[in-house]
Amino acid sequence: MTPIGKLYGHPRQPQTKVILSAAIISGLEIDLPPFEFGVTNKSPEFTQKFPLAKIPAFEDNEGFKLVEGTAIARYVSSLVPDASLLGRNAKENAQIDQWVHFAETEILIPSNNIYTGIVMKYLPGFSEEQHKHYQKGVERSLKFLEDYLASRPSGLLVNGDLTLADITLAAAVQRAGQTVCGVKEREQVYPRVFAHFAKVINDERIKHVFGEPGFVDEPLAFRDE
Amino acid sequence: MAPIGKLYGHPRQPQTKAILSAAAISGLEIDLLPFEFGVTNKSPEFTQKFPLAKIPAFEDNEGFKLIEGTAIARYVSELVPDAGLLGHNAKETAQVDQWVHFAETEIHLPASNIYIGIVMKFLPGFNEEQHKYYKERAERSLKFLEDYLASRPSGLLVNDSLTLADIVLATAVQRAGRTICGIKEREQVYPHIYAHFAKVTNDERIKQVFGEPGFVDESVAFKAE
Repeated sequence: MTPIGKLYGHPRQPQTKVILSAAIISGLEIDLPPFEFGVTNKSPEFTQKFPLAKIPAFEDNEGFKLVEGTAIARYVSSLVPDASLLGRNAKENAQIDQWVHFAETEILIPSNNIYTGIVMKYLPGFSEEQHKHYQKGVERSLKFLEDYLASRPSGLLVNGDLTLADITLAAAVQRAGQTVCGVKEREQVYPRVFAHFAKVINDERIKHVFGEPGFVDEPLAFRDE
Repeated sequence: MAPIGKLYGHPRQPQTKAILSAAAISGLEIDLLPFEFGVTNKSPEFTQKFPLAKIPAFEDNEGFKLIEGTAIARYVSELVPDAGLLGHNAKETAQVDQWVHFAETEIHLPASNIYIGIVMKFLPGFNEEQHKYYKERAERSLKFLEDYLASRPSGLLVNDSLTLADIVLATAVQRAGRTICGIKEREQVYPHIYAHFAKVTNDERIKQVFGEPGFVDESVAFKAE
């Protein structure tokens, strides 16, 4: 099969995982060239095509370029409508967009701020106050999500099949499990959220894309340097 | 004309502006209900429909509900394809999605953090280091955008007509003009960006949605309390 194009990304980056998963579910192949932070994204070859120099970045075989992970994932998901990654009608489509946006802004971004602040030590000015602020935000959103998933017979977000929303949420929830959700939270407080995660990543087709969860035993604590 | 549904939002909220603009360009009417922060979003009537209790939130005449501003705006934008808000083909649609996401995460988010931190004093732990970090991030993105817009004959993002991307970008750039971009920045550093903003907000159909720009004369400075 011919790859549909090249994806500049890192296999451990959540957005990259989502795009690769969307391609696989759609029966498509994408080339993931080797990527080294600080090297590839500073190379003239890359920055000429993608002046913002961020990943993921996509280029198809005709030179059509896209940036922004969710936009690339949505575009890939639209290429094979029968794969149903974007739902079966306009309203399901909109619900998928809703959950993708929710996953990214309400779970991934605050969890990432904690990950970047504590694990990577790379968020200037990150403080205990802020850690608490972001953690509370994630918890509020996870509670809402837990209650919603409890009402879903399929255990999936929009209909009876895997959609882009489920994939995107799993990538976000993985980051939450690496930061704010320890064993107790995953098993007792948000069991359905993590059952959804397991359901998605155990799909034979995309299991290898997600890799090991890398979950923490206890929520990360803020430590002053 | 019958409204297509109810929008819970605030007329000064950027996401609400984007949705109302999308409706106006599409020739559709949406009922914007009166909204009072701390009252409406805590009322049982609202929280029963929308347990996350955030705005904007949309409900159509058949009870179909959506949250997440960009998802609502995108749903409204595809109700009348001839309005062209999502472009004219799959690649243009992907580019609209790309620029909406870029506007939201690369401009609106850092500018909003500064707005909330300094103007609203509502971001715990916000400090000078972080102000600098978000400002630099926004400036990097604004530079990229400025260079891109300089290359666009139409002065618009995707094609020759107003798309959802132009609308959402204008709401983000409005926030940037109230925080990071003073007169000097708007006129000398990012002239194409602010020409784009003027072009979008002077469109007769949506002028009243955007209201006064509310721009600052000088870039907002961090003040320790």
